[in-house]
Parts: sequence; structure tokens; C-alpha cells
Amino acid sequence: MKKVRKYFKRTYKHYMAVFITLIFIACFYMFPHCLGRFIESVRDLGLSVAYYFCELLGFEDVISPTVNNLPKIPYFSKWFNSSVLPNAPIPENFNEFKQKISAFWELVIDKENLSAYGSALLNVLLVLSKVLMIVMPFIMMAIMLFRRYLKTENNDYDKDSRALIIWKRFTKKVYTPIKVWIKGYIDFLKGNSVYLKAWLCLWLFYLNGISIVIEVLAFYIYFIISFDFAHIYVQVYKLFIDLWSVITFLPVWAWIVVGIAILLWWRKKIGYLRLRHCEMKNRGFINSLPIVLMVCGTMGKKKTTAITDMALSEEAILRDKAFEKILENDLKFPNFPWINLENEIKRAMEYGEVYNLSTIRRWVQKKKRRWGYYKEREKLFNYDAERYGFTFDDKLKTVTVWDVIEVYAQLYFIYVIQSSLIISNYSVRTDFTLSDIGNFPVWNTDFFKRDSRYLDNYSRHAHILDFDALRLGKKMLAENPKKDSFEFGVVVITEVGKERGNSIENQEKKKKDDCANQKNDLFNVWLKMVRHSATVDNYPFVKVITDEQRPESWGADARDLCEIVHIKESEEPRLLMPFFTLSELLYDFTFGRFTNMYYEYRYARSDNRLLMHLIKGVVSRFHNYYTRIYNTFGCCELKVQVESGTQDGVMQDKKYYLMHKKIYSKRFATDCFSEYYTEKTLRSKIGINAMREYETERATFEELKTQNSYFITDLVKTEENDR
Amino acid sequence: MKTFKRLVTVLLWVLAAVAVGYLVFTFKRL
Repeated sequence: MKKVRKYFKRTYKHYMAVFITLIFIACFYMFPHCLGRFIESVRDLGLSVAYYFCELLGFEDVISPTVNNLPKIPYFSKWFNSSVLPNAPIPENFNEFKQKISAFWELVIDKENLSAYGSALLNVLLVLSKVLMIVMPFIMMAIMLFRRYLKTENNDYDKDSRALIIWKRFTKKVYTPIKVWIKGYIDFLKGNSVYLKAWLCLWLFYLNGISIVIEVLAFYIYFIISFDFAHIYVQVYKLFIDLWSVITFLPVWAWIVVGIAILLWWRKKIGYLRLRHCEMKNRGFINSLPIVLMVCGTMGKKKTTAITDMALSEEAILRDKAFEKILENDLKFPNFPWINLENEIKRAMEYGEVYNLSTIRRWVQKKKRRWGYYKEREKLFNYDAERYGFTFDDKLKTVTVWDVIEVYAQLYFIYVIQSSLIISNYSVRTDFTLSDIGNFPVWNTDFFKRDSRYLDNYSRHAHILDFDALRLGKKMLAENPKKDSFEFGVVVITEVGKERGNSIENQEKKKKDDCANQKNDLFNVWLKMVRHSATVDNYPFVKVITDEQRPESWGADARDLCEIVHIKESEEPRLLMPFFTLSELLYDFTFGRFTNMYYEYRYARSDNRLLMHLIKGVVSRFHNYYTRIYNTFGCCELKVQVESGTQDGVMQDKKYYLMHKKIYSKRFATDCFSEYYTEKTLRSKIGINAMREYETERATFEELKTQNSYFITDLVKTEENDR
Repeated sequence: MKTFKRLVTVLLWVLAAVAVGYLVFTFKRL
């Protein structure tokens, strides 16, 4: 018995799904014409295909297509009740249709028709007002009850009222189990999608969906050979006949629900399209800037946010560029077995033989040398050079297959490397995912459809920037093992002026100093030469993105290399998903009122009442929905001005888009240097409460002296000297 | 201003719905 129960527990969901399928199959009796229409549409398609080939091969008038015939309803009248014939709300032929159209427009401007519509509208309003009349007393009662709550004050911390206890018991015993079971069953159906697919097919069949698709195909094949414009209207009429059974099957309220569901799905689709469009505009903007750029703006203008966003986009640009160039080089020798080369590169990377562009170039040269001894095909990655050629001429120069292999290998290395390409002086989270089933891997560089629940599973972080790797001169650590490591990637430096300083700040520092400083580390030389280490196939796989409050904070020698992006204005966030206005209005209306009400309640009482529990539950669900929509589809537009690093005063107005889902999804910490201050304040023995306060509105002389201010100290000294 | 803009948008949608409703109503009476 126990075994039977266990078996039933394991399989009852399947039995239920089969039972539902049987019910759906039995629904066939509600749609007696669908089978006939399906057979008819298959016949039409077959004859259209036959007609197409006969006409194409010159056998004219052998086949007479039936796609233009009207459906012969009722079918199978012997077995089914065919008294209810489907009909279409449009006339059978085009002339009648034209007459109806002109009659329709006459009726549209008819006074009597307009007043009839007015009275129909009033009837609807009457029904709505009746509903309101029924609902209003309940709302009034709730408000009165709530006011009564506020009159009695208490400190009954976290004590549930009797009604709330009953409600919680009810939800625990009834609501929650039902909800959990339904969710589980939906997950089961998603896991066993064969049931969902079978149900979809059945209903598409009943509602003539399959017949419509076959008929469209049949007419398309017939039309492209006959150009029979005269029968297009017949097809429209037939379509209406087929659709009418669907339209009349569901009641109006069900159509409203279906309409709302379609609208919700469609607006999200538009939202995602707009997000991707803005991202493409951002990439266009970044591509128009030089290798070194500097973002400037006063505090709170979203400088670090903007450079992080640019770095993320630039990483995607570099991956895409490597991919594009891999294809270009692939096509130079279309019969080269690139997979053999790729597999050997992967192996060399695993063994640590290849870890940067220089080692990969050395590796290819080694392979070339080995091939050079006997010129065997196996040593050329099994490429048949004798048959397919050894050189490629692009009418600018002639390159050998080894030249292309060297370039391809470097591009493949840049493309396939799994860690982030960002190297920064603060942490940035990246979440590009590489799909690889052992052939050519594919990067997913989409920012907007990431599941935030599994964020940590697929995230990586930017590499820690070791400034010694960017210094060609003196290093801070002379024997730093990472001093020569930088080759390509996206270098991001926030607050670059504080790191590098300007000529005034650096005037005390000397080139001859023993320690590394801004004058002897040759960082600026590195900046000027940066593209040399990172260029593959004439494209520099490098970008240096920096930010600072004022351009002048960074020395002119380096700044002159950049273009400066001034953030002029950061606009209010707006939503890229359409048709959300009504929800926003409702949200503003409910949330503002709830906040006032909630804190009045919190001030007066500490116990839990059923009414507050219900209101808070509804408002929190609405608030979370609103927040999630804004977090997914919200976008903040930055108005920027681009100026040359020489600061010639010529400004170009541009826009940059910060999409919430991309940049605020745990990407970086705005307080990226906060740990320094944590260490500093941990050393302190006092907090703000212990700081001395002024005794009156006017500070005493003693109080002024405790400020340790340069100004006050100077004044005190002067006063003492005068004495 | 924001609320006013939203109100106007919703009002325009309601008007559009009434207009579409009128066309459907006329079509049904044809």
C-alpha cells in the first residue's frame, strides 16, 4: 500500500495532465467544422503546389486549384450537429463589401447613430457607477475602521489581533498550499513541455489556427505563379470565416483578459527593443571617441557610473570586433581547418604556453619553423596548401597562410579569453557568458535579460589595476612581477587627477628622485604608445577610460591625448517600456496615501491588525512590481558635451544613456574607496554624538580655536603679534 | 507637471478607446 501511495505521489501530476488532455480532446465536439476545414486546407495546399509546378513546367490548365473556393460547410453533417453554421461579418464579394463600406461611413456621421452610441456609453457608465456604489461603503468602512485604530494608541509590540490570527491560519492552511501546488504544477508542466505543446496544438487545430496557416501558404504558392489579384478578397472572406469561430467562442470579458495579456507581453518586447537600441547608440558614441577619454563633471553627475557603463560596452565592442575580424581572416582561406588551429591554441593556453599576444605570436612562429623543415600538411593544421593555395592577395598586399594564422590566433585569443577585459582601480562586475560545446564558442553580451537571482553564478569581476604595469619608467616596486603584464583591454581609472596630478601639484617632484613619481614613471609615454601593444590586424584592442571632476586636475601632457566628455545634465529616469502611464498614475495615487497612513499607524500603535496587514500586502506587491519594471526598463539620459583634450572650447552636444538594468545591477560601488575611510574611522574613539556642540548662536573665542582652522589660527597669531 | 502629463496621456487613451468603441458599435449596427 505504501509503495502504491509513493508511486501515485510521484506520478499523479502526469495522470492529471493526461486527464486534462482527454478533456481537451473531448472539446472537439464544440468545434465540429475544424477537421473539415483542416482537410480542405491540406487539399488546397496540395493542389496549389501541383498547380505551381504544372504552370512552371508549361503544363497549363492541367490542374484547377481550389484555394479560391469557399469552404463547403457543413462537413460530416451525418455525425455532427451542423445547424450552427459559421458565418463571417463581412460580405461574400468585393462589390458588396464596397457598398457596405460607404454605408458604414454614412452611418458613422449619422446623428441618430451617434446619440445611440452616447446612450450605450451612458448605460456602461451606469453599470460602473452601480459597481462603485457597492464598493464605496466598504472603502468608507475601511477608512473609518482605520481612523478608529489611530485613536487608540498602544505599545503591544508585534501582537496580532484576533482577526489577523484567523486570517494567518486560513492562509497557512488554505491559500499558501494551493498557491504552492499551482506553482509546482506550472513548473512541472514547464519541465514536461510535451503536455503544453499538445494542448497548444489541439487548440490551434480547434480554432482553425493550423488551417489558416496552411491556407495562407496555399494561396501564396498559387499567387506567385498566377498573380490572381481578383481573388484576394475571397481569401480575406475565408480568413474571416475561420477567425469568426475563434472570436465568437470566447465571451467579451475573456477577450479583454486576452487583450491585456497580449498588451503586457508586447510592451515588454518593445521595452527590450528600445533598451538594445539605446545600447547601440552608446556603442556608436564610444566608437567615435579616441583611445583615451576623460569624463568630467561635478559631484553627483554620475561620472563613475558613466565610465563603468562605457567600460562594459567597450568590452562587448572588443569581443564583437575580434569576432568580426576572425570571420574576415577565416574567409581569406575558406578551406583552412580553423578548428584544428583553435584546438591547439586552447591546448597551449591550458598548458600555460600561451597567455598573452606576444606568447601567441612566438607560438605561431615555432609552429611555422617546424612546418618549414618538411612542409608536411599535418604541421600546417592539416591544411591542404597545395590544393587550396598558400597565399592570399587582397590587392593591397599578398599574405601567406602563416601571416593569417598569426593574426587569427591573436584574435581568437582575445575573443576566447574568459576573464573580463576590464582592468580598473575599482571593482566592476561583468556578466558576459561564453557558450562552448567544444566547437567555436559564442559570447552572450546581452545586458538586459540577465536573471538577477543567479547573478553570482555567472559573474566575474574586473582585474585589479597595478599601476606599475602602466609605467614604462620607474616602478613603485622595482621587482614587481606584474610590471610588464599589460597588453590589451579596457583600462578604467576613476579620479585620475588624484592619481596623476597636474603640473602645479607635481612641481615639487623631480625626475631624478629615487622613488617612482609622476615625472619619472613615464606613464604619459605609455599612454601615448598604448595602441602599439594592443593592435591586432590594424585594430587597437585597447581603451583608457578615466574620470575627474575638472579636466585641469590631470596634467596637460596626458590630457591633450584625450577627448573630454563633460556631463552637463543628468535627466530624470524615464521608462523605455510603453503603456505604463496608467500604472504610474495609480502608483503615485496609492503609494503617497499609503505612506502617510502607514507612518501615522506606526507612530500610534505597535500591534498588527488585519486591515493594515491586507493593505500593506497589496501596496507592497504593487510597489515591488513598479520597482522591478523601472529597474528593468528605466533609463537615464545624460546630456554630454565632447571637447578636445587641448580644450579649444569647441563643444559637441551628445547624449549618453544609462540603462538601470545594465549599470545598477551590482556593477560597482559608488563608494569604491570607502574601505579606506572605514579603516580611518575605526581608529577614532568618538562619533558625531561625542563631537562638541556650540553653546549659543555665536561661537566663543575658545570654541573658534578648537576648529584647528588655518584662517582662525592665522587670525589668532596676528592678534598675538599685535599685542 | 509629471502627474498632469500622465493624466493627459491616460485621457487621450480613454478618448481613443471611446472612438474605437464607436466604430465597432457602428459596424455592429450595419
